[in-house]
Amino acid sequence: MARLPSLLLYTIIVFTMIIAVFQASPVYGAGERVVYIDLSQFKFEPGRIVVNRGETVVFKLRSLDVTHGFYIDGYGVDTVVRPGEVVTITITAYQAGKFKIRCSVTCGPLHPFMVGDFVVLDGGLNTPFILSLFALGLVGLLPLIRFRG
Amino acid sequence: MASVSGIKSFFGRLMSMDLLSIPVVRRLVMHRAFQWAVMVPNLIIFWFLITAGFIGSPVGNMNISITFVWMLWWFALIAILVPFFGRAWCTICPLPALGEWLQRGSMVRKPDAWRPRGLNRRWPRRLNNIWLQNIGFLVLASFSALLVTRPIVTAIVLAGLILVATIVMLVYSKRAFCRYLCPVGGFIGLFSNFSSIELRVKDGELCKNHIDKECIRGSDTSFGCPWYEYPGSLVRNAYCGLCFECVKACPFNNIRLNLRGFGRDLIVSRGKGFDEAWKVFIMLALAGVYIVTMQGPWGWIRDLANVFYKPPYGFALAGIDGYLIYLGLVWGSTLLIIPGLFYIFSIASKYLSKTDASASELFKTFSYMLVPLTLMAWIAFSIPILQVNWAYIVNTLSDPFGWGWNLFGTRDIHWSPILPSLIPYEQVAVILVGVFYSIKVGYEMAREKFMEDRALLGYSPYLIFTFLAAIFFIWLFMG
Repeated sequence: MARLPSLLLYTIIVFTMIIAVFQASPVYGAGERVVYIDLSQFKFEPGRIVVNRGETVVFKLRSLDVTHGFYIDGYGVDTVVRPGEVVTITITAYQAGKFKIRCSVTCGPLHPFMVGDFVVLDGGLNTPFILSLFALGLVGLLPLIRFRG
Repeated sequence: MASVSGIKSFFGRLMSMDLLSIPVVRRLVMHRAFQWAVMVPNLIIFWFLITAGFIGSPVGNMNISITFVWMLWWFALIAILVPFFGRAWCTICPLPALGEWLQRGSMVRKPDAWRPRGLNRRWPRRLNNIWLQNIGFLVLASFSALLVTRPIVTAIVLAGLILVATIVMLVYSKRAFCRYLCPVGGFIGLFSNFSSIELRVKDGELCKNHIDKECIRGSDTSFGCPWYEYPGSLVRNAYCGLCFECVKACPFNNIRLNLRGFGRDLIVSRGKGFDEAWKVFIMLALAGVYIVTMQGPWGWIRDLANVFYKPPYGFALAGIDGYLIYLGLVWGSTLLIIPGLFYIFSIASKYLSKTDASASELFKTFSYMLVPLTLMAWIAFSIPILQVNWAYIVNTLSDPFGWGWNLFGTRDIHWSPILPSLIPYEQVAVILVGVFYSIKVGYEMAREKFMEDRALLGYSPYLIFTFLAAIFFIWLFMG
């Protein structure tokens, strides 16, 4: 029984290492993608942006009501979008995975929940998600193997 | 190797340690002033938060009532207090403080020839379950977009809970409010069954043969258990409020407060009921609904939940049709859809295991295996609340009412999430921990419930259900 938490810990460590290796692998794929996003209380439209790793992504941002912020987790993007202006942000999608887009300027009651998704695929695959499912299978089997043994 | 076995031995001893054997801990909880000493500061903080809700800024993240209650307190409760300390929050909870004071007629000391004040009625037998807590929680969940973002709504709810607790405690005996009504107490009790701490008796036989039962009836130094529990038969944490009245009462020093492994109470059969089973499904489904609504990219779902909104921070009823859809999602998923799916899996389990137990019995028993996954889903939901919004907490510490004060020089600290790209990985890791314990607990139930050669087969529908639920959460975080 004492081994079970250790096995769980090892699984999570292996899972994290595999993810790290994938994230550090060379970027391939290129090209530019222009993405138009409308910001309004309390949503980004479209709310889910999917690009390929290595692509240059040009965000064209427009606020439909009050001043909003545009922040992407892990990408160092943080800008203010005022009503009546179009803000252009260009980034290279260098790391794969799912990253939250957040409003960084208090815009109303549900401001902390104004989020969107920025999904960067690796060769068309969401690698961290797939690896998470493998990890799930492994973690799920651990107690069964232990008990069967 | 010697050091490894030494560490294992240390942790082995630690995990079965009786905390009450530590003299300073024992002296602390034995002192009559202990609970008041932890409740009163909390009550003062609560009144401050309620005041801030009424008179402070209507902007949620600029008002301490929102940042302290729904960011700091919520995270501390769900991610630290409940999994590691069970119902420790109930030890310090200020909601019943006023009612208990009026009911006892004393803050600290137990008066001579004491009789409880108020009507001191017995709680109705047919309400001797947590259905009212389930309904109360769902009612609050129906207004969650308002509750967690509008300071005045948070203040009204907190003040309302104190008022209801006080009235109930003046009408009914002991802590009827905490045990049967408190909407927070319901899920704390359920998740406490998973926690790594337990209050139990050292020697059950001693309790059985001791006639006076001071732990229930009280003594010169104790009011007796206010949670309607008999410590001698305590086998689950669900309804032990860790008030330590039994420790003060026991003439034989027969109560222990143990550290233990996670999830032990979930495999205990005694005391389980459909009210608790539904609580599991309410919490599981609501974790999904909240993650979708508050942390998902689907703004139109947020619009459904945010129906009482008039810009910039006013209230107005608009789009009731959409709100009815949201209500349908909250009440339908928690009371019908998820339990209904689990019942279908229970029928499959009965068929595969060839057990004599009914599908309903299996439904009730195995619902508890979902507690670890459900708790972890709530922790995963709570991680970004703190990791992303910590600056709002620090800001409001200096400017609690949003009036422009800068008491500690932290008002202008810029909003900046801590390592936000790691959040999905943390959330998935937490879900994996939940899956691990859910499957472990479920397999122990299967071995107890089914014939040995049919255990794994009978268990397989529940395995599939657990995996599907976990895949759903992982997809929300990472997909």
